[in-house]
Amino acid sequence: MPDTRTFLLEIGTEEIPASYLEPAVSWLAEELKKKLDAIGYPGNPYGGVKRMWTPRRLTLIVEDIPLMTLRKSYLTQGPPAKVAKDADGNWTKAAKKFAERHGVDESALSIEENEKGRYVFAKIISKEEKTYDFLADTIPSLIFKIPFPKRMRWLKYKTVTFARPISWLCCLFGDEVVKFQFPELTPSNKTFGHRFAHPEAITINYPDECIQKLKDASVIVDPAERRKQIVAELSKAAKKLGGKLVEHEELIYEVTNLVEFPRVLACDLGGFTDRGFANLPREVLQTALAKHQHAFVVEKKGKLLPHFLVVTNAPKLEPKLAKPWFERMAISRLEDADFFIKEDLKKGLEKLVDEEARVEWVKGIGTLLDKTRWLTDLGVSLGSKMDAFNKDVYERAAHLAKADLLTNLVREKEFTSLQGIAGAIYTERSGEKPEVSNAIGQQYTDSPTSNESAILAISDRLLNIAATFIVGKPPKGSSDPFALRRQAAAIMKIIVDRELPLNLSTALDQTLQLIGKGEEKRGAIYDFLTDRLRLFLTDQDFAYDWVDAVLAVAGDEPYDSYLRLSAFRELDKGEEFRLVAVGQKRVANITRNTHNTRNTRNTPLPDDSLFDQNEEKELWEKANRIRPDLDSALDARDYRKALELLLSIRPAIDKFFDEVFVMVEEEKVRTNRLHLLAKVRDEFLKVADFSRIVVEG
Amino acid sequence: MSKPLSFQEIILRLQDYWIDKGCVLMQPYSSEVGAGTFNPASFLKVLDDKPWRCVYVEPAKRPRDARYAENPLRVYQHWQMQVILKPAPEDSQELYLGSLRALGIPLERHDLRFTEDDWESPTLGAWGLGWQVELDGIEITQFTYFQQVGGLDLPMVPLELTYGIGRIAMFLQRVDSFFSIKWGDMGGETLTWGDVFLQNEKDFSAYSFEEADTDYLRRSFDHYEAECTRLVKKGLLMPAYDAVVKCSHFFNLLDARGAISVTERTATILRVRKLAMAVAKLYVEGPDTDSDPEGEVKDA
Repeated sequence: MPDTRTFLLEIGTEEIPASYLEPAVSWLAEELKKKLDAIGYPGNPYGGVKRMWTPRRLTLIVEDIPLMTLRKSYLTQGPPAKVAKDADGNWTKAAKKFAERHGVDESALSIEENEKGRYVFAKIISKEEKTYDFLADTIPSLIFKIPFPKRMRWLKYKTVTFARPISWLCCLFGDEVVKFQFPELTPSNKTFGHRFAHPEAITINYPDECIQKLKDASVIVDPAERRKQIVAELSKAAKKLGGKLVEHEELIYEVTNLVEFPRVLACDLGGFTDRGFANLPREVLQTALAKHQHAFVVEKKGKLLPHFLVVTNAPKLEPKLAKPWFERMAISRLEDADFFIKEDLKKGLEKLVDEEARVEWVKGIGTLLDKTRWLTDLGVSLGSKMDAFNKDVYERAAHLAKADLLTNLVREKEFTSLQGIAGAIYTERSGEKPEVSNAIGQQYTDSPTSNESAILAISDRLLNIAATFIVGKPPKGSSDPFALRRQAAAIMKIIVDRELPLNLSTALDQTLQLIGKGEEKRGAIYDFLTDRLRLFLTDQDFAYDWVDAVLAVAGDEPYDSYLRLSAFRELDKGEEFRLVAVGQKRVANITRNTHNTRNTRNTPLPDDSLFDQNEEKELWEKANRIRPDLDSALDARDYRKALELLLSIRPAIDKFFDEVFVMVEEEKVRTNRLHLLAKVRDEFLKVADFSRIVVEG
Repeated sequence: MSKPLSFQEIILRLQDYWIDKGCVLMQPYSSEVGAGTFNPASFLKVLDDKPWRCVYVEPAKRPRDARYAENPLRVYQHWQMQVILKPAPEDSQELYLGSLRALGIPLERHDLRFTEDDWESPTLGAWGLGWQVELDGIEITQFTYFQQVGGLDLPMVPLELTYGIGRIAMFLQRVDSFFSIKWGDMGGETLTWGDVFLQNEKDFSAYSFEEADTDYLRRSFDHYEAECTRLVKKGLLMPAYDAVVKCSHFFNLLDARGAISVTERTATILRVRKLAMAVAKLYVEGPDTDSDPEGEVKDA
């Protein structure tokens, strides 16, 4: 066992936004692990990694790192070969510079090939060094490279940026401070406790002390522990108020990252009922309190109690002093919301529909009113194919669906998330049918409860996707600013959940027709949609090769693809399917050049007078025998039955391949056998392209 | 318990505190602005690489926030105390907290947070990162490390503190509304915010929402926009900047009157930003002496 030490890095900062913390520490941990791996410790090089944070610190502990790194040689890549050597085969200036930069001479250079092409490489032999020196070299650049959604400058150095200013650096390897170079700061063994409860510096002698010493200074640095405490305190407080906490996962995550030492404060909405807030819709109340005060609400028998719970960051809080202000501010926000709602109801959504004509929806595509009209037409046409679809309900819902975007309520920053819900509330209060309100309220969700809601939710997203593609802003790589992928996934989920007989190509054609442009983008949009369907299906735990096999023949109707895959899963005959696949791969290979899989209608019939082996006859008879049942099973979408029928002729195919030689000299016989195989293949293709199922070994 | 600070005492305490920390006392700007940042002591002084520290009170006039004096926390005109510290000091947060302690607030007994809030002024082409400071859930200060102003990267990062002194006064005096804030004593009589400003609020609300002449405002906007561009070419910095500020206020009024559609809104903001950027460039680079757009500068 090598001699080891534990490593601690704490980057003390001014308050970093809640959503930045976890990704930053995770990145730091991953990168440091990579670097440690690269300097090559044998076997299990180091112990546990603890990733921790509060708004004021990013903290990483790595246990048991050996004191010395290993000596090891490795290749490092330089410029492309064509730049590294001249016409005479001599190293160029670029190659020499590369060598110089890595402190090796030309003899260490060589040309090697990797997946990207030919490059010059330098062989570098690392020296065994003190891990301390390695850490001192590595840590500063890691700190600078931590990715953040937004970065800022605060020093005179233009190049130094971070999420917020760095206040201190505490870095220890064992009991030794890692004194790395950093602009205007010197790493030390000092950290700081809670800003108000324990502002003095704390000395950390060993990394292991860090968690407890911070706790003594009113900082719970481990987010999991903070979270546990928050949930426990919230539940206790809710119980004390005679109700139970309304869970809000995102909010719990957020407040965990907003405090160093949580303390829950129960507040009252005094005068709640007097002021008419009892009429305030639950969603509005909850959103106002969550967005503005990061506060939780309490319910009893499904009704909100006139209280709210704030998670403060004040260990020495005096509740009597703090409570009135939280309450006043909350009430003032609710008053605002109440004012907006009253104004909006006075005006009514119908009037706002007219105003949609003045609002641009997507630049170069149309106004919001255009969208409303297209939404209406598209949905009516998609819904017309369904049995349970109330056209009047849909038309009314679509007509009013977008008007809430222009209401005072939704235009307020903290209530934008109530789009749809606000529309539902307003239509409900102005006496529209409940079905209409329901559809409006569910248009942005992915779990609508009626077909009208489902069609509205799908049509809206189809229009968004089409318009965004048309104006040239499709998702690229990790960038998907309009969340089109999520929208497409929602379309698939709704279609499958609601068992909707929707056809992607028809729906897309209708969408583009309504918008009146974008024909040239049709291919790209269609590919995007099927790609999302493929991902959606694999996310349902269907094996990707089954998904490939089904989508190859039935990719246009998501629900139908889903049914086919469910039959595969239900039958659960993986081995049998693989055997079928082996046979179908042979068929596919042998018929590839002569018999098109795309246009099976043109596959010629074999001539049974030309059969001269039993196996041929038997296969043809079996295929003919199952065909009527197969077709009626397909009509009834009974894919389980269809699969069973297909599986039943598998032995005949295997036997055929065992006994019959297809590629005989005599052309007539050969062609006839190919016709036979192609015909059998066509039966399978009615369900899936089995040749795409992966056969291992 | 000691007598709570009056509004004027709060102003004096904060001014004293910041003067003591090396700030010069400036005065409000002479034209309507929506925020203290529009005062040239902020907007222009942050653009160069010379240190600058100042403190001043600014009346912020926001037509859209007018509420006919019916909302306790929303008003046409509220008061900001603006502090610029350039370069931003190392102990910015502690310095700031010191100013709250100077007002006698026992911070450890309250819940004080620095809550993410990335400030941005699209009309000024300005943005920065920082926080809203919340005291028991009340936003009392905008705390921003400016990164860009007038579309220019700042060579020396300044700290901007914008105190909502009305809210701080409510907090200290334990009153529910701006209008109940005790402003000060006048010959032994207590004067409140409402005594001085309640009627103004009603009048300006009516003006902002009902009476402002939108045709005139549009024409004025166009006029000052052209004027600004012309003055920038002449290198007349402050008159050009005055025109930017006027355009911004006309835009705010038109917006409150509902005379600007959503699409037009973005476009109009961009027009103001373009002017602000031109003036910022003029301040940093000086007049463009090479070009001779109107053929008026002749060689001797």
